[in-house]
Amino acid sequence: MDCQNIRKLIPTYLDQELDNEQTAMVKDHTSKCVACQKELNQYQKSWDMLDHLQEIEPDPHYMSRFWTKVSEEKPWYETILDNIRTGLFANKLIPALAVSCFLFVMSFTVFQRYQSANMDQQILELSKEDYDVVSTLELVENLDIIEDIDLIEELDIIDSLDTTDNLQSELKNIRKRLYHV
Amino acid sequence: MDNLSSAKSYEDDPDVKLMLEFQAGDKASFEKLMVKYYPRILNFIYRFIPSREVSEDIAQEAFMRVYKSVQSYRPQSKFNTWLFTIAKNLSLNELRKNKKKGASLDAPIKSSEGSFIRQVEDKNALNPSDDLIQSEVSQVVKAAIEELPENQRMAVLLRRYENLSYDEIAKTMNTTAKAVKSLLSRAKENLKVRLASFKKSGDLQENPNQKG
Repeated sequence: MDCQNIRKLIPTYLDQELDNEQTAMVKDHTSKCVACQKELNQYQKSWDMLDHLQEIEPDPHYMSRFWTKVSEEKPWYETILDNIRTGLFANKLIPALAVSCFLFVMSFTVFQRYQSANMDQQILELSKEDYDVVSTLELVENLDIIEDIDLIEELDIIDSLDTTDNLQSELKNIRKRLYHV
Repeated sequence: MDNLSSAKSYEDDPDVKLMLEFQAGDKASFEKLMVKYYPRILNFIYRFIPSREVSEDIAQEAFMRVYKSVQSYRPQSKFNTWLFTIAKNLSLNELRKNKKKGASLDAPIKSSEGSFIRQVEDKNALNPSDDLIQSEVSQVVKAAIEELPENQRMAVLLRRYENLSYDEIAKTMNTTAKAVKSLLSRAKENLKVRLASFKKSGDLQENPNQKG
């Protein structure tokens, strides 16, 4: 292989990324060719100079700065979800919540049914014992209306009467009907 | 190779194991990864984008991406390959964003000798100390790397400072091993030209830019 082709392979040869055949060729040629050996040395030295590139030290607080940024970016509910995902209460909280919800629903259902049954019972009992009282109360509440209706009817009758005597007797009749006198 | 078999083959990677432990809820494992890789990622980015402040921000963002992707993480490569891919993408995005803002004020100056030499900051120095010489060499090397096209620069940084194989570099850069071979060959040729010229001029006091 001629010098031009060997020099093309030198950069990869120095990285030890040539196959065995090409590696042997470059090694053999550069051991005999002064110009190619010089070229190889220049490649190696310029590559070694890269060691002189100074490094920088990270900010000593880079870790705390990172976690601060994490907490600032995360919404509060995600923090809670993360705690659940990381297993903080995963084995206990979720089942506990499920049982609690079930118990609450069951309790509420039972309570409602009890309330309903109790009220029905009270209504039934009320009907048996206090039906008459309720009826009387309804009469009393509507007495004004009843009286008005009766009075109006009577007044109509009175209007139709000609004599005072007839009026008096009719008034008596009215009283009797209204007050059961 | 399907996802399951590739995942199994990378689970021998100790860093992948730490990531899987973090996925299971162990935050301490994530901190171990961060302690191990943060300085390396920071310097990788800094060699690409020579601004400490920007490099710190990008390094933080790279680890934030790792942190946020924990639930969907499936090992498709070595952990460091994946991490450097994230850092590479963020760095390239930042670089392209800055390119739109105009040329860098730190661009090296071409001397009358035809080589690229960075101006010395302290023009009044008559007897530079070893530290200053070392710093100057570092600056020259830094300038030579910055002169490289993006892809060549990326390949050099991953090979020279992270010791990734051609295959790992190819995976990180989303290309082929053959393309990486070509990139590194051209990059080394460019570095040889730039750094060989600096070596020839040698003494800083002979730098024509320092006179007057």
